[in-house]
Amino acid sequence: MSDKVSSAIQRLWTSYSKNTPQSLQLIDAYLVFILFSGVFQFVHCVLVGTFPYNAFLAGFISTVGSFVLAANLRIQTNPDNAAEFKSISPERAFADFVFCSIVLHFFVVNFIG
Amino acid sequence: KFTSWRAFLLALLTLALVQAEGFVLSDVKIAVTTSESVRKLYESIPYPSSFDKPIQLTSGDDFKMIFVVTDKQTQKGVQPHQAFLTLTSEENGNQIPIIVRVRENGKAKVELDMKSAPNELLSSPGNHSLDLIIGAFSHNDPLKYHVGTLEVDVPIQSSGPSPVVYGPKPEIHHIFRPDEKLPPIWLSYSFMAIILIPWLFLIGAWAYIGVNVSLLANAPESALMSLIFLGTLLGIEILFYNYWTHLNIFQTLTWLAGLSIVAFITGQKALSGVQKWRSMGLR
Repeated sequence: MSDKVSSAIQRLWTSYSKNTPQSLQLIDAYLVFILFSGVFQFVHCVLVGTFPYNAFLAGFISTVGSFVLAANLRIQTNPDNAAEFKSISPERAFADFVFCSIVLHFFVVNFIG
Repeated sequence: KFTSWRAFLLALLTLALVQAEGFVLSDVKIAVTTSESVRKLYESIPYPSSFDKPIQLTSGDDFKMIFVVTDKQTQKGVQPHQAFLTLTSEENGNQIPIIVRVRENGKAKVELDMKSAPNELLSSPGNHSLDLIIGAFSHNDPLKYHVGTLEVDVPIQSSGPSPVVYGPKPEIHHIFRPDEKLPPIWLSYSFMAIILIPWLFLIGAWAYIGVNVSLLANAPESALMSLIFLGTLLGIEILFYNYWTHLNIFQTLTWLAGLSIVAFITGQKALSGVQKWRSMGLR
């Protein structure tokens, strides 16, 4: 039973690394990075409580927002989805991602206090 | 030659300057009635001398006084602005005022009912000096007429309310909310290290996947634009860090405006270069 699961994971991994374009893999690495950042911040908050609540919220919302923006970028730059996004080229999607990230970082820095 | 309005003005000013002299009381009468409606005292007091015998009041008695206030010069009734009867205790100096209502023709009537007397009177037995004070804005000399002496005979209330003393209240010792407890410092430091681990993962993963730098070799100018663009973005992040530490929002917005213009221009050039390169099928 467990080796069926592990072989399925193995096949998933090889298929992923072969078939996914490099740009999407880069974005996926970024997504995993953001995810773990958020998870660690949440664990810290659970352990020690929410004393500077605004700091915790700022950090956590920053990770959530960045995750959403990067996922958006991935969706929009995926060549398989090109039919749905005719008016938004991948470069435009990337520019949007950069701009939205800057705005998000600005508000997060404001809120950290 | 005087014109009519000048004469009128002069008359008005003269009237304003003229003040009347003083008051005269007449027909001063006092009466004391017990609680069984038995009149035990009825006297007429010859103003300006006072009533020589002490007026005895016990609990339940009703003291009444009537008089007429007239202007000393015109001998017509006046209604003064201020008219009150004061009871000054000879023992502790407490003063209790009773307001007198004077009608327009100068006739006045005042009543002190022991059943509804103020608490200060009920708790201070003994002799009280009874004075009538009359004053008005239009008259120069106010009047203070000593009517007589009241002997207030009430049981001594040991727990009478003490007179209101105005002074500083007891000090309030405010206890500020205790500071929030912080987690132990080693925990905070270790979590700081834990938070930095995903960065290592990211750098490693990106290195493993392989950042695509063939653009640099093929199209140097758009590569330069790309580098400047990424550098500007890094500059914006450094600006945010400075904003967190020491800048204020106006300086930040100024810097941000400048940097974002640079980022926009270089980004547009870099990304259009990438787009051209992609459409040429090299990506």
